[in-house]
Amino acid sequence: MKTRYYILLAALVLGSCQSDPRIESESPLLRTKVSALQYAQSEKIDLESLDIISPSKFVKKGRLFAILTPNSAYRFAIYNSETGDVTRLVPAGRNEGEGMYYISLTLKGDTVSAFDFETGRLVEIDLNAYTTTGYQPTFTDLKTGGKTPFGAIRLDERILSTGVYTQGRYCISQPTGTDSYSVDYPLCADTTMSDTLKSIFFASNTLAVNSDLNRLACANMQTGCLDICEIEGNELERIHELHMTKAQAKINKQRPRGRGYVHPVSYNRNNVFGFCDLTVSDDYIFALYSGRTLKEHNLNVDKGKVILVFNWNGSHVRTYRLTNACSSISYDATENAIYALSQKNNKSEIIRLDLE
Amino acid sequence: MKRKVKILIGSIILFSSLFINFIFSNKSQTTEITFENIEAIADEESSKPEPTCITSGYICTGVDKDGNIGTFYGLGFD
Repeated sequence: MKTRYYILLAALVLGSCQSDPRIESESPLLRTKVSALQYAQSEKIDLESLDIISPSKFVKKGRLFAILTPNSAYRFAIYNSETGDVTRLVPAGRNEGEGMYYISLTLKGDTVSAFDFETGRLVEIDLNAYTTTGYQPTFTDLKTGGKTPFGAIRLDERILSTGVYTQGRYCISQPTGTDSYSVDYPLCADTTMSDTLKSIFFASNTLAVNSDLNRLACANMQTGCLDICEIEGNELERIHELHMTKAQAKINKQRPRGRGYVHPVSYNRNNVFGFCDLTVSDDYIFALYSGRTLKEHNLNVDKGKVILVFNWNGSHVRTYRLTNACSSISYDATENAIYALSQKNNKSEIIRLDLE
Repeated sequence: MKRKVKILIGSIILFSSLFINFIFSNKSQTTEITFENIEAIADEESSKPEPTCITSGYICTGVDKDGNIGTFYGLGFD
């Protein structure tokens, strides 16, 4: 009789405990080599006071801040912190010289670029020329040869892209029109899926290359999958694949009636979202990590309070924990500082994080 | 007498467990209500397919708010 009571007691205690799926699936990288960052509040830039509404990503080059404003009439705003001027570029639209949907921004040299997955065009803004009269950004169409690209970054005269590709995870397109595909899809997702389904599953990425153009970092936003590849000529070779957590998503393998390769993907409320943004130096990859779930943060899963630092071989170097939830980061080599787009309390500010 | 004490202890444990469970599950109920509201708003246009790309920030394949099927700026979740 006594034994039964003990069993009943143990069952009741266990039954009353609720597990936290976030903690169970948290990567050990979030708990190791943790450092605190010092904030230099003097660098705080209030974007709302500049009439820059709902900024999502940004990059910094010297005194210039190029900001992605996906819900505004013009998709990009460039703020000159020296003069206080704000220049708006790329009106919303699908016509020539216009743009629709951008999810990330890249800085390479003095050029800011972003890929519009609606029109299939890579837009490039020259930071040395954008204020000159009549200046228009450069648009490069990547929907050539029947391709359906989702993201792109310029290497040199070549452009590297991801998309609904079945010949490989990445495509390097040359100016001649030749496309070279390479690398299998990462193993983060269900390996039984077709490459088309995997390409849709891994659609939202932020891409970065090192200054020598021989390494690529591709971080997935909806899953914590970081892919690092070596670029050799027009081919890539994977050198590291990191999975922060296992994705929890449902992908409809039956295409609904409609156009194109459409396989609705729905994320579970317990899915731990991945990388919000990447910024790189010659030595390191700085990855802003969300680690959030829809269940806990509703629609604020595109922000994070953790910066994971990796070297270009993919080894984890350090973890920074921030006090503000941020949606974007940009490394400034001359100052050895990371600037971050803070979204604390729904107020958009650019803050400076001094690295130790 | 001993039996009554055991029943009393058992009842206290049972009700305590239920109480703790109720307190901890309150937060997720609130979240579910929020999501149900979004789904309810989406269901209003019954003639069109139910939108699956609800919010923005990501590349979403599915149905947008206008009932179009394709790839959109959004996020699909259930």
